[in-house]
Amino acid sequence: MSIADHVILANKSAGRDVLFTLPMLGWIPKDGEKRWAFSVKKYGAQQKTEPYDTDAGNGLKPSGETLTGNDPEDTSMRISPDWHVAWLAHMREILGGKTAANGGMRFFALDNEPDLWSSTHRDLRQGDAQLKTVAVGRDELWGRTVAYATALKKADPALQITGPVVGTWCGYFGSGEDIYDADGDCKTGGDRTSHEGLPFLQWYLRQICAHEKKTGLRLVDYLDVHYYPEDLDLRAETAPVARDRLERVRALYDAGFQDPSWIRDAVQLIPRLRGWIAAECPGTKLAVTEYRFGYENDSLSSTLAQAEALLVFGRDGVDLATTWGEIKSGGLYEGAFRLFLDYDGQGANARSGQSLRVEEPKGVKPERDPVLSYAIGVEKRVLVYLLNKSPLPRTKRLALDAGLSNARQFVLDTTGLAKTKIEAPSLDGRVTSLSVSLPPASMTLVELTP
Amino acid sequence: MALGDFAKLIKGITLIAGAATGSYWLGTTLFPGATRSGFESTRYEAVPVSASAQVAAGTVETAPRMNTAAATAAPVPTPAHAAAPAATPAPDPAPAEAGALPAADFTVHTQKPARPISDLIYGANFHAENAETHTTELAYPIVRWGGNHTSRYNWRANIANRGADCSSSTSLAANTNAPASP
Repeated sequence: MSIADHVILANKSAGRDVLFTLPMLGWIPKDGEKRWAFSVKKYGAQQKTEPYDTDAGNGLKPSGETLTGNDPEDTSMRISPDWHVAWLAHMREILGGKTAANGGMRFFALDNEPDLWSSTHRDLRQGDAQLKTVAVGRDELWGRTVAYATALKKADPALQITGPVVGTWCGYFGSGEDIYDADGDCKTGGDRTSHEGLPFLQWYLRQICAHEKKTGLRLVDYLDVHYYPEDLDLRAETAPVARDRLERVRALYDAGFQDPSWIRDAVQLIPRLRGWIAAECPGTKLAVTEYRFGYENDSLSSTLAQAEALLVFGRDGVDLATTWGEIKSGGLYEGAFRLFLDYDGQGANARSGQSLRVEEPKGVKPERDPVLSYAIGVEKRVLVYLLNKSPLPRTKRLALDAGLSNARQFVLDTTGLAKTKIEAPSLDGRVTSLSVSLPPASMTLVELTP
Repeated sequence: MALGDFAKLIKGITLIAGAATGSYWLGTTLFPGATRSGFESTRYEAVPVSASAQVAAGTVETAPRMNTAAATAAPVPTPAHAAAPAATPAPDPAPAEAGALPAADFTVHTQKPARPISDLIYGANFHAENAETHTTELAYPIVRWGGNHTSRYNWRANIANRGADCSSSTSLAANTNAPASP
């Protein structure tokens, strides 16, 4: 079975939806053979070669200079949207004829990180005589978007398509061309100037709605971006890094949080993107399909940052998000997801939730308070999540505008996610206030039912 | 907490006092005594609606209220009404109005949800190439198949090329077509 079919069948049979990336570069490997772009025999000596295949070079001359002028057909063949239409038919077949509207494949992404194509896939870009520029400009990217998305939506009108899947902060503002032009500033560039002077994503959103107005066809349903904190060690767990990591979650929402990286600006990812959507193409959903604040599965700060990111996404209106990086079964990191998908080990979860407003006393500065709170309502259950960033225990008093009868408590900290006992809560349906003890560096979930 | 640990804690506080950002995160490495032991049981101090004024007056953040053996031996003071017999009816059984809630650190408004939350935010990426470590089997509502290799995947031949991305085993030779397997 191919890897793609495996991904589809394994996840669909487990009840998980799949967001499936479709190539839009226009080139794919031409056959099943191992082939490489930079042959030493063909293009001359190179800095490094593969140990067991000394003809396969790394595309850099011994001097370190970039090797240019290679032929993409050494490895690849051109494809057009027909390729994808046939692929959709194949997916439908392996899923017993199901289409997007009745449980088949529904979510498709228009390729991956086009802002970086001129480096990641330069062997295809620099040798393609049909291209005007090695990096992708706005017109080229939008042209590909129209061609591929139109074909996909004609093949199955119920598909949900995400784009442009940009990989970097620079990619929010500049096209590939703007990023790789000579001025060294990704917020300016000739391609931006010649396209109404708009940041790339804002311009892209404007095209989606203009196209829909003109043709009646909505090509892109989700604005899709990647987000990684810049200048943050994603592996270390020293105290300064851990503290920095937990602070960085504020970049998702806080206009007052000056990013400590080279960006030197407030990222305010969600309000920024939702603002562009509201201004240019209302109704577009928001997807963050790669993000991660720290990779290590046993890192407590990475785990807590992940859990808080999920709470922020829910509260502030992200519509789809997929974390990048490995997740070990039973590992600490998995606990960040377990808090929402199976917090009691018996299937209790936060799905079909509603974001509930949590009010804090006036004058509290969240950036100085180590305890943050979020709440989700699921039918009659109330789930209160309390993040204690401090290495000291804290006690917080919760109040609710409804009476409660039952409470359970779960804590995620260095020892993993576990239920903790509640002694004689004596909740009789009239209780509206309770005091909760928060262990050091932890997230506590208080589940309340009327 | 051992004396040595306490010394480390003091050192941690000194460090933080000099830190430019944040003021609370010492890091677990500087605070080895801070674990969940002692927190296995939290006592919920249930407060009837009618007692809200007293609670407001009595809400003082001091030491955490723990229900460990030590805490039992030397009980932390709790509001008097919390020990009231369960049979005593509270005078006002109706849910409190928003304006009449007891003073609290956080007040959760359950009656007017702010917005529905999309289940699709609880998703993860799929990592077949690291199958030995990417083992999670939670009920993620959505899984993404993406990354550099998916820009150049041939579904008929089951082969991909991850471009100049050096995170694969074909790292020395850039831009190589490499057969894929589940």
